[in-house]
Amino acid sequence: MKVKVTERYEAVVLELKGNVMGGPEAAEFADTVKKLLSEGKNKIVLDLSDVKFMNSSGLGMLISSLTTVTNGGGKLKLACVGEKINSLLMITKLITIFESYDSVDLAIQSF
Amino acid sequence: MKVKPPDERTFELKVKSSLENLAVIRDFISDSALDSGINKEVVDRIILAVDEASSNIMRHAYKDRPEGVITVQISVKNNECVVTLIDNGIGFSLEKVREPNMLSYLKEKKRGGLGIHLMKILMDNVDYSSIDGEYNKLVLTKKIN
Repeated sequence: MKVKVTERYEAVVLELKGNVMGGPEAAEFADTVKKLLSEGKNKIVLDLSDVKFMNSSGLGMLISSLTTVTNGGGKLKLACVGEKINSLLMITKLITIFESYDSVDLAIQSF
Repeated sequence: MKVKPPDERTFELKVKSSLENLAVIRDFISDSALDSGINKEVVDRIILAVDEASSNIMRHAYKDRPEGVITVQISVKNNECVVTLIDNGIGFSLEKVREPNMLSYLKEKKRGGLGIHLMKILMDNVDYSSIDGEYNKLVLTKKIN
């Protein structure tokens, strides 16, 4: 998994690419999220358009990020969730805990 | 390494218990299932269930030791796709695995432990048997019609 960080307006967009499967990358991702919060950047969009595969560890990473950001007084939203990932969120009923938008722009506008 | 299929609709793969081989297993399942005429959406679900099963074997049965061997067999017959995973690692009790509570995941920032739950949701049947000191066998069944 690769993560590209860009700042747009008052939000930070984290673009996830490749396979989201937890492991050491999940710990690095958690550190990235914590660092953003410590810098006062608490409006975060996860752009999932280039995610090819996600397993339960990847889902755990998303849940953990959402909890960290929410507890830190911020908001985390998903954008460009593909059919496969959306299906995964549906069957695990996690779709109800994430705010999801069709595009990064719409996610940013929602803050 | 993909080996000669034991019969017309059964394919078998043996890989070492190394996380890099998860991609090999996913590709093997994808190729074999699509070749057997199963639709893409169902194949994606089977791939995810097998990935969860394989990573559980690597992490828990073999305790991240890469020398362990995992045998993956996929068979398509009678409108069913059956994937069997065999390992020689440490067994466990499927019955003792509790259903996860998603709210506690959110509150306690838990990670992991969703794999078996996912397998059960994605597949029509999950059966596990273990012969102590010999092998563990996980059979995942998906109806394809």
